[in-house]
Amino acid sequence: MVNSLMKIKGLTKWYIPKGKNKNKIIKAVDGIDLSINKGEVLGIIGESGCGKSTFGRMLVALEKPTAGSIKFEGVPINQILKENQLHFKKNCQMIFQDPFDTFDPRNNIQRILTTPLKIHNIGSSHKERIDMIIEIMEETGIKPAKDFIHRYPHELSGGQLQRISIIRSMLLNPKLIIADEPVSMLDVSVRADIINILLNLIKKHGTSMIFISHDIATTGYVSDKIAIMYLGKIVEIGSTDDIIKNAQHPYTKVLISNCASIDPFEKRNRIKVKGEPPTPVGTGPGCYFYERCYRGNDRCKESYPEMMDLGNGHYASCFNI
Amino acid sequence: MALLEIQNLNITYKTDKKEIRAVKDFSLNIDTKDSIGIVGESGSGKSTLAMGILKLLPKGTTKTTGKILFDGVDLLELTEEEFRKLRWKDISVVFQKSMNSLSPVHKIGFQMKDIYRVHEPDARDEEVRKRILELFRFVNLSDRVYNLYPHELSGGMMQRVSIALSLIYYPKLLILDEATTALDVVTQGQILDEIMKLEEALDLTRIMITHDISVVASSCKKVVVMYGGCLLESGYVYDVLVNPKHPYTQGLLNSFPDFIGEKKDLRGIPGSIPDLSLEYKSCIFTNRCKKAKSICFEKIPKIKTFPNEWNVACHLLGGFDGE
Amino acid sequence: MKDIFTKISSNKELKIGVIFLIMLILIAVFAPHIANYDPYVLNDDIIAKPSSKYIFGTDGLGRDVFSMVIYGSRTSLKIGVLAAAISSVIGTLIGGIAGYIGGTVDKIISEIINMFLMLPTFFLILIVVAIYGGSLKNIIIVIGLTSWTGTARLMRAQAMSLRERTFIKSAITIGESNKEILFKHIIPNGIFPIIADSTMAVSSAILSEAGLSFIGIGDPNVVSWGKIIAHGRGYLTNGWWICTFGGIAIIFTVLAFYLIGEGINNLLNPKSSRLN
Repeated sequence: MVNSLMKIKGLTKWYIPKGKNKNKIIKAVDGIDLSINKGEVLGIIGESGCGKSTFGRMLVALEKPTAGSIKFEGVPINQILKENQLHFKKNCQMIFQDPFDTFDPRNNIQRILTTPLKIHNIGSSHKERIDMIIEIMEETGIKPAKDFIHRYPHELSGGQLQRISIIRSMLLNPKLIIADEPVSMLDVSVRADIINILLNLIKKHGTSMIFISHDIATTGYVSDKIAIMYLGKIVEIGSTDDIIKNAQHPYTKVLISNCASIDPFEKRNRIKVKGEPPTPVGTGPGCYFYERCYRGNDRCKESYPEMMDLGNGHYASCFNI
Repeated sequence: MALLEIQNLNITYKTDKKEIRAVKDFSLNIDTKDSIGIVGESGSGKSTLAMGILKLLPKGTTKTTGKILFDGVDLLELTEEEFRKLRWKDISVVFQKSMNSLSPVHKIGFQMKDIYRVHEPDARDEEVRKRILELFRFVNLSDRVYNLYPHELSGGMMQRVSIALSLIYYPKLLILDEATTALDVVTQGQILDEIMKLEEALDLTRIMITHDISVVASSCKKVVVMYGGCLLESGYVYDVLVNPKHPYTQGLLNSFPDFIGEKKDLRGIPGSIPDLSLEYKSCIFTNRCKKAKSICFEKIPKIKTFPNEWNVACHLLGGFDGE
Repeated sequence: MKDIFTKISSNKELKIGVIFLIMLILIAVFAPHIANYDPYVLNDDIIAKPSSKYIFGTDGLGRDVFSMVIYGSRTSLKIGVLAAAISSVIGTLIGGIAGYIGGTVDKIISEIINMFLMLPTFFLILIVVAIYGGSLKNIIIVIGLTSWTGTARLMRAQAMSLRERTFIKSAITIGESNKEILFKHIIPNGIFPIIADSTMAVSSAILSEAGLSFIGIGDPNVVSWGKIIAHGRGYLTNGWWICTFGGIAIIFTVLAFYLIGEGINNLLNPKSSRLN
């Protein structure tokens, strides 16, 4: 495939506790196969503890996978990292959840934004770099930029900081952005603007994005494709429309039915599940969702269901479809 | 009759240099068996309001004026000793991190029994146990939780324990301050369902403080929208959240993506929350308001009442303050 | 700048410590103008009581104790500050690297730190001084090289907690190198407790030097407070003033640095000061 930007195969991250509890392996990410195309926005939805953040961190080489491979433009990232680490970092950027902690509190905005340019040799002089950051700051609504560049992170609001974070990533003109819950710590009224800025910028530059979130509504708004994660595995993946209107996996259905709407007339029937969200310890061999599933049978207990092709790029891993 | 009547409540935090007016001229009536959601962003004063009702604000650094009438008694006039008799028995609360308030070295049943005996020192063991197990059933917990330690429970179960604990005396008023925020969607949905059932069973009046409009939309009868310490709009959810009158409420609703139905464009509200240490002589929302007219910069809007207990504080509605 | 000043004056320990320190520095700088005798000159009066002629009296060889104490401040400050500087730099680097890189590097460095912790430092200093001689330079270097473990452990803990912060992760993702991250983010952000620790290290270095001089292996060519006391030990019964004024000088200095260190600590963690 010419279009594919990043191909992930069998990506796994296990944390093996030291000492006595050797059996209690924490399977944070447990064999993920994914592919993201150029210019595409892929949403990853999962509850807290499903391993979605660990997954994102592996994609930008902040964590080393236990097993599996990530290929970026056809080349394994281990090889890219060895040969030209800066090239990889320039092309794979991350936006973090906590804007208040994303920047060194001792650096001012000018330094924060010119540092990546300097590292990657973008812009020929200090002055040119400053002109570049001022231009993009004004474009994203941080006006007047000249007033802001001498401020420190603690003098800015969460929304402004997250804008700076987006700007810093986009200054490098990356091919892929991993956004890990980029708006979950912001106030509702500023979330929409941040999301729009992010979407506009990536559309303009043709950047792909992996949008990691627990919020179905926001992810649905942002993404072309959505993958649902449960205990380190992807249980369903498909186009946004397919996932939201035609979900097949019981877990996806539960998630969507429990997602409250802002419309008080819309009373959805919440699908009840048994038990509590489990931890990714000692899972398997059957379907990980079996214990809470409302339609499980004996077969689900015995082996983990393979991904089923439902057509149109829609896959789900459940025996009962 | 109103169970809780808040009249012109002002709460100010005092620091060395600044005075932060966290709640300003706030008035609200809450009837028995109402379920009312107070929505606001960070800095809107919604949590301060809850703490004020519960008299949990630090005495030295805050100033509270106005009236909070609970069953006709002004809570602000009560001494600490008198209020203690009401707290938990008639007014109880669940916080976002209530689960952290349980001791890790005692079993849950034991701790709940202890708490019950604060106001009912003579209760028999068997009787208390029965009451606790009944509450567990209300919040969908199994009996075996009684003999577990806090660390053996997940976050969702702990929050259910906290809710059960808050209901232990069958209070008249329950305040939930972001009580379901930290939980995942599925657990949150279930707990909201359980809470609504409880209300029917226990004749509970509930105040739900949250930043998440969808929680209010799906679980409350009425809604109050707060911003910068002021009440901007209040009324039934079917009115306010469907045809909001205040520009801020409109903006807030536009900021929420709704994934079912058509994909509408998301629009945020430009600007950021107001600095509450300054004194405002105009509408608190004016400098972020798209519809602001000159009057909005000059005067603080009075609250106008529309049919169906719908209150809105905006100059742009129904003429200009009767001028 | 004004901010720093108000912060210092709001903290009692720091205020007193800084005032003490300024006095000390002034004394050391203007020693020749304050002292009324040459501390090396042997006067005719031996073991003279404190009087208007000899403010602190004279010692067993007829040297003026007041002048010796004044000149001794130069030695003590030099040793204290330089030794503490050496140990802080070493400790910060080693601790920073161990804490930030982690893994095997951390394991090895931690073992080395533990080894140094187990060593009886004072005896190590004794041995080194015995072999290489007790010049001022040697003493400074050896105190510096043996007392970095505390700083290293502190910096390691700082680096380990900073390593997990988002801004370090984000620095990695934009492509900053490990060296840049260590020197530009980890150390500057973790340095404050180290500064507090270093000021306390100054006082312990001064004490170490006093101890060395006391047992007679300090630098024989300079006046130091330890040597005054060592000398005065022989005259405790008939010349109490010799030991006493030397001792007071040491206590004063150690206290100054201790107060500054404690003050900085309290400024950084307002909580712990309230608990105390």
